[in-house]
Amino acid sequence: MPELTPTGAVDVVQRQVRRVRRRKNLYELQRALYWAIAAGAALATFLLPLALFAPARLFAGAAWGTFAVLAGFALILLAATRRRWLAAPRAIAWIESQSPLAGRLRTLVELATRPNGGRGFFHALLVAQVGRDLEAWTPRRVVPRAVPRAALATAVAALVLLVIVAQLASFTPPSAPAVGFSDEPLAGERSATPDDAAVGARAVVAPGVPRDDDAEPSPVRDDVPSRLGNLSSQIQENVRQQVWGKAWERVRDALARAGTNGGGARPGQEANGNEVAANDTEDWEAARSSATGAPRRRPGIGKQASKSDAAQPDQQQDQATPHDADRETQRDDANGGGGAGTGTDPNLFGGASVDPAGSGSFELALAARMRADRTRGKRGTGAAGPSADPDAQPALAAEQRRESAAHRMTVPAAYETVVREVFAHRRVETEQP
Amino acid sequence: MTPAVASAAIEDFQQVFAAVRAEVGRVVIGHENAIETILTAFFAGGHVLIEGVPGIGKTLIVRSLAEALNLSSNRIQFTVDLMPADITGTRIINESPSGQRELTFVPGPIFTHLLLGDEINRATPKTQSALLEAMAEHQVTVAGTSYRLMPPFFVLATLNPIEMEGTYQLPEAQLDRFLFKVLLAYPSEAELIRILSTTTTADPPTIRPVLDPEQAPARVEGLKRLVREVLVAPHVEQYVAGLVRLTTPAAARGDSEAEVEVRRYVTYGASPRGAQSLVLGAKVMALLDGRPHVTYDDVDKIAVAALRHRLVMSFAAEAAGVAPAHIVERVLVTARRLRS
Repeated sequence: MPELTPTGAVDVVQRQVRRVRRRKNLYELQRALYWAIAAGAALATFLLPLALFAPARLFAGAAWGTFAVLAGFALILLAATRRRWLAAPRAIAWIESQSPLAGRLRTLVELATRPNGGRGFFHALLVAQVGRDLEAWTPRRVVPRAVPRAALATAVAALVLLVIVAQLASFTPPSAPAVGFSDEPLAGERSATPDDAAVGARAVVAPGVPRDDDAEPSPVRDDVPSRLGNLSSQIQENVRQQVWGKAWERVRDALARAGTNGGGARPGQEANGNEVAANDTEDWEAARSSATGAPRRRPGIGKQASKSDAAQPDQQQDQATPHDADRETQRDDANGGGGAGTGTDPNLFGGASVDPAGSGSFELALAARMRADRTRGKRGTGAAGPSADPDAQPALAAEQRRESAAHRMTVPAAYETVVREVFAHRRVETEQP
Repeated sequence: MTPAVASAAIEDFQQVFAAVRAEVGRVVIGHENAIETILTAFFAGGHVLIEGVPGIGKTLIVRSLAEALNLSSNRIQFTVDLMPADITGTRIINESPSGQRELTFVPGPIFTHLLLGDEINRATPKTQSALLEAMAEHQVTVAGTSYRLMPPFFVLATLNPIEMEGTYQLPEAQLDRFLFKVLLAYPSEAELIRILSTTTTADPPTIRPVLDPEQAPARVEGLKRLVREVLVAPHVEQYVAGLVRLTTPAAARGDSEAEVEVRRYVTYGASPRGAQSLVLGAKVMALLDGRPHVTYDDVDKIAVAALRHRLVMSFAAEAAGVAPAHIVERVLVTARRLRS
């Protein structure tokens, strides 16, 4: 260390102070960064399973709560970093607090600002003492560590944990729920009026998707899709897309067809969905014969069943049992409509969460073959059913059927696939029990 | 000035200080802190007010100090009928051998190096005020003529507690001219036994002069000048200023406990002389610690002694039994917090 001279002592001291400041502030920046990473990774580790497996509302609540915690932590971190940040005015005082300098450094530097430079009887002695002390407060001594080990280790551990959780999650892909039918009202909303109980035959559900009938209707299905709710839904969607990839795309498509975006599919339901696809015909007919409104499942909806349905479009309708036809006719008589919906509820099929087809609505041709046509024999129309050929243009009825709500309602475009599936003219493959 | 010379000067100061303290300590049993505070004030160029009941060694301390430093000393016993001229001196008609009569000034006992004003608060305020000019300007004025006092001039006044009979309150202006106020407590039992064993023998301990009698005044003045050379950084000056301002009710506007107590119990706070005494005392402390510069700790060490007699307490303080030293200690806590 060079010996200080009274004239150049302050410059030497100031240079060393700057070096100490650089090292100290770099250290503090690293510490803040590592703690931020650790906190972010820890919270992401917490959110990841929720994003994959929890219902949308639960995830939304957890996500916003997590963001609040993260924001609070960021504020605390910012305040702590600001407090520890070594600004120039207090750099010397801090250095003296870390080293046994007894105020010599600060005295020398501050006295240099005096008109006479603080020169006096003891100035030379002070300079000599400061020169002797230069080794005592080198950057390495004052800030011994260049890297905040604890913060770094915590950040690495949190990242590793996050990677592990993500990997484990990727090994539990979602099941592809089959789309089916139910007598229960859609979108987790119970009917408010007794009349709605009779429209259960038009309901569409995805059996593989958890239903939150009582307490947790999905915010996506609610009629108040706020921006914040959409944001959390998008985050959840992105997470699922990133982790599950193609598997999630299948589920998403099925959910879109079902018109619901209930929380993630539970692992192990893939088999259920396949089973439904294999035995759907029987389940569907059995459900139709039930008077309790138990869930119905219909073949041909969902990825597995759609191909077989396309090959045999007329069998379902032709093989509908008279028993079912009687029941549907009775409901139609009581409620004035055997079509789709009550005719006044725009959310008959639930609120749209993801609108892959874009906003707006689609048109359902008046001549579209409708499932309700299977009951034509009991409706008093007496007209023969349209041809099974989808390209054929059936003859229109003499007049529009009363209370045919399906022809008048507006349906969001997101439900086009579902509605077309529901109202597709197809043949029942199996005999009614 | 080279570092070696400055370092040697500090060592010389420390040696003289330690030697005087040791010599006084041979005679005065106990009161180590009081002796150090008195010596600090002496080398800082101030005066000391000692408060204590009679018989606990106030006069002995002053006499021992004078003997150790080899300086002249006088003692004035203040009484209620003491007049100012009894202190400063007076002009008398003197007849020369030729028969010519002329007015001649006869210096009073104040013309000495070390002056012990014993029981200063037993004199009337008028007589007490006779010391004001001497203490502040080291001169006395008699009949329009000013007479310089011999340096070093050091007043060590003793004060009986105000509750005692026949005492007067010292004027604030005079109190302010004392650098420190020292409280002498009763000696402990062990100290009392030592006092008995050393003062009741045929050969009581005597003081060996530390300084040469011819050079003593100059040496002391040199050491006092050295004290004033000690460096004080702006941050210490700022701390002292803040500390003194915190003792004044007008400046103590914060919500800290100390500031609330200052507003409630203090009528007038410390004056700028208080700040000067803090810095001067701190400089001596720095030299005693071997440093050429003052730190916060030096100020804190002498803050109570330098400020407690400068606070004019309110009736509420007297009623509540709040001592000025208590206020100063509270203010110190607040000032330490503010500086960090």
